[in-house]
Amino acid sequence: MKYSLILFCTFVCVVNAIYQRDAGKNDWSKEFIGDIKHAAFGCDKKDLLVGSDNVIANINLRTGKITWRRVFESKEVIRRFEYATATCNLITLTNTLRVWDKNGLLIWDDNNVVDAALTEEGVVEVKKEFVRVRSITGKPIYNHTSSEEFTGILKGSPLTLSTKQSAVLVTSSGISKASSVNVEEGHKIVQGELVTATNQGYYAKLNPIDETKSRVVVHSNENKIEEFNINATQATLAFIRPYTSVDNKQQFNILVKHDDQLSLYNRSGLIWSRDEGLSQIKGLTFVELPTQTQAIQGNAIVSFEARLEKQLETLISLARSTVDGLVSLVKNGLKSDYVHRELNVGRDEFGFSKIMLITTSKSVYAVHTNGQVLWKKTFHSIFKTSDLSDVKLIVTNSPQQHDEKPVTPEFVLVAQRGNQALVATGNGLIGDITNLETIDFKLKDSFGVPVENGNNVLVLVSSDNQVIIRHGTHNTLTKQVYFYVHDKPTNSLQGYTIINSTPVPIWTVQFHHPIQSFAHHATKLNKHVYTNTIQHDETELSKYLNPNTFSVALEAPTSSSSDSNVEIYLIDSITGTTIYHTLYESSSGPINMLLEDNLLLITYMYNKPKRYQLSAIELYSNQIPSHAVNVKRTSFILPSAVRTISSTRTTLGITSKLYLLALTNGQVLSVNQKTIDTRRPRGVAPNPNQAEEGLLMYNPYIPLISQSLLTYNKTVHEVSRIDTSPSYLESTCHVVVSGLDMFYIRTAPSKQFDLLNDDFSFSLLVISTVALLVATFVVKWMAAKRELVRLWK
Amino acid sequence: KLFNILCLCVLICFVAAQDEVIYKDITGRLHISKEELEIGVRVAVNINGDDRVSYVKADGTFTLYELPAGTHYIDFYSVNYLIPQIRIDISPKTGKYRAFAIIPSTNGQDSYGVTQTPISVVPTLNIKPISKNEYFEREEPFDPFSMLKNPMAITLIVGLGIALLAPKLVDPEQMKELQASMSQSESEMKSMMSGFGLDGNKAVENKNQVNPQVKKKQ
Repeated sequence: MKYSLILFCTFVCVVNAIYQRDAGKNDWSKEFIGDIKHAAFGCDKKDLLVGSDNVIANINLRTGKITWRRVFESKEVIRRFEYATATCNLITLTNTLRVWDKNGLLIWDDNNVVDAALTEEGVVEVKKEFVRVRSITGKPIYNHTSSEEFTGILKGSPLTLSTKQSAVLVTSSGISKASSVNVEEGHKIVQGELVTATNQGYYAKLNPIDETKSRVVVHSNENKIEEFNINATQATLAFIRPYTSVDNKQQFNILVKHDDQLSLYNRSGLIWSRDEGLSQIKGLTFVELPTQTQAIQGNAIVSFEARLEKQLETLISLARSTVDGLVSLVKNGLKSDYVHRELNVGRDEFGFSKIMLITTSKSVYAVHTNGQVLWKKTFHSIFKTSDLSDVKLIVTNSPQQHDEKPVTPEFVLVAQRGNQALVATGNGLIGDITNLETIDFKLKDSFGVPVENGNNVLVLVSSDNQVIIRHGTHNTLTKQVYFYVHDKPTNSLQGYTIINSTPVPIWTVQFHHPIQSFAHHATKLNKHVYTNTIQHDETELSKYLNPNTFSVALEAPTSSSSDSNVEIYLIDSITGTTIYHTLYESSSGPINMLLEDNLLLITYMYNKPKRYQLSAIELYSNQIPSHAVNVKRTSFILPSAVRTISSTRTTLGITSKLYLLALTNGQVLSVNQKTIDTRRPRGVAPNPNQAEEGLLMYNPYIPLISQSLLTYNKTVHEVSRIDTSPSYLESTCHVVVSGLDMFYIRTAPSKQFDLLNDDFSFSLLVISTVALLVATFVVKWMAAKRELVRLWK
Repeated sequence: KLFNILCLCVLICFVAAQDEVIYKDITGRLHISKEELEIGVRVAVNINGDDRVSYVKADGTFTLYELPAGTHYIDFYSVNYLIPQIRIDISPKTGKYRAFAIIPSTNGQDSYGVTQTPISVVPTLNIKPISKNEYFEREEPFDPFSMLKNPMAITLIVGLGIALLAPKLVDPEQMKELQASMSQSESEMKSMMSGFGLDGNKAVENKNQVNPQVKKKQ
């Protein structure tokens, strides 16, 4: 079965897989839980159970790493999260009540539960007009039906439920009216302090001392037992766990959640901390690291000396690494002689080291491509206020590959507070904010206009038609700027150009339905595009390459039935003309689009058979000069719904392109260019010309082949974006998949043709060369000796 | 008259029953190892655009609650096993349902790539994984013969073979005669060259000195 599946695949598609030994070498993944709202200490000393809105996880109490994790639908919200320390079970309630054991296995569940609680009797399930108490293993103990509808649980013991009008008391014998109810006080916030209570009679107060520290005071029965400081302030959740340490002393663990971080402290300080901020990424930009060489100015002697010095250094390091390799060879044997690429934080000669500047809803992070978070700054600390709109990050100054001297990457953060625009300029390497500007400007939108060298000039647009351009110290805007604005209430797009620092409206496009999604060309990354496609029957097709186009997708409900159509428009952003327009009948969203070179990829759902389809539209320019394009299109059936699409990008564009589809099951499928080629012959086998081009016969299915998964056996739940960036090597591309989790991989779609194998053993090469040299001399000596003997005979 | 009223009541009940939408809870059993369940096997079904997600329980059973009548596709997500997509058809009138396993097929002629195999739902819906998921490329096992296929290796081996075996095939005396004639022709060549005024003079002299010695020894 397996074998035939692979055979099936070879006829349909190309597989891009890595070796198992390479897993983890060029990639890393981070798993997150989200905004943590619930926590409970497990009965096992190393378990900590946490929950966010739709994720529950077990964290190892000693290391802070996730042991197991369960992810529910994104729409679910966990309302109850309770832990039974006697039996080590967790119950969670969304709309479904679920009971888990300590290994994360679901024991039983029940649907349509209004409220649930863990009491001494067992698990109480309250449905609309029905209440049932079960043991933790699911065995029913007693149940009652009521005439009134229950709305919730007021108290666990004695079991008191609230109905629409009153409260009732429930026991094993029956339901009776409750006379007076004392509602339990759970966690309460008392004048800025957070009080937390445990069952064992201890409770702790957290008093903030200053901006960074708080004082923890542990009480038991009104007596102060312990006091210590922790480096956290403004905590929103706190829990305490008493335990006896090895030397029989009473110790306390304090679990605190502040901002996005969950930290565990004890008397001696921080044990571990988890940052969950990267689970909700809003924006991501790749930035290069500055070059480490410096073109030495000065006369020839100085530069010659510098070069000699540098070459001496590299010679020494080469000798050292050879010796290390030999030593490891002797120790471990021939096979295990890997040269691991250790990415230092500085620039890498292959371009494998880059920084990703990431904005979430509360902070900005810089994450290096080797996985470490270089720095993090909260917007609160930058802008000194929390009342901000969405913050946008634009890179204004970026190092390039062939820089002569180091250039520091600079970025700009733009936010709106009331009627003011806040612009903060920062250093990309260390995160310091060098300048904070407040402008009286009703900011509507901001964007960066790409100028040469990957830099951007900041342009701010206000809602009363004003424009501010910030050139920065390095850039000047020489070209004419065109931009368009999406007006949501009227479903229209308005195009402008900037003349003398004022926006002048040029075009307007009005749509009849709300816009579902947009797609733009990636800016200027692939300057090398091979413009013509020659079909092997000698007709030449010219690609329609217009980097100023963008595409718009609408979902238009049809007047007759409850059906809808998907309309796609391809619009030129300078003139506002619609270059191409197409309609997919009886289809609906979610619609994802990718616009790349002359290819437009659209994913949508075809309503009648309820299947997900991918449409590829290739634009070729018509020989008649006008805006009309020649279009070739084809559609395919996807194995599952797609959350987002992206494609790999390389510097020269020679490597084959992989289109990355993020599926709803948390995996990323990579689809080869050849699979979605629009010229695949239908119904007949490819003729020799087509076979020469590599076109396979048309097959409407894009199969889900597990070997084509970019994320191999890892999953990234709830993918929201895929970002790609080229490296200096033509074969390799950086890909970051982010959503609830983050996954990074350096992928080589055509295998790494410009890099030596990882297991190329340099020491074996050195040894064989040295051995050959020695052998040459030995043999020469032996031959001379033998010749001498022969001559003396 | 009573009979008419009775008929009317029956009709009303019938009509009322027709308007009821049937929701069904589907329970099934997935035959999979406990380790895989601990990693987590998710079950998802898409109803009206919303995904409903559940996990397979510790004993291998799973329940999908409140599926409306019609056709639904159930997906299983397991890291190590490939589990077929299950299609459930729930009849709106009787509430009975039937299930098909959708397995990727190898034959291009039938439905381009999937076959639907019916599964019995009595007594329970039993689902078995198709195969193990393979995410990585197969490593070629270390084959010493692959080194032999290298063209460099072939030239080396064949060259070595010729260099070692050739002398054994030839008669030693014939070999010495050949060598002598060769050295003679060499010296002839050299004298010819010196005739053209090249600097082979000294070499020729040396050669003449050596050769008489050799000839003497013979």
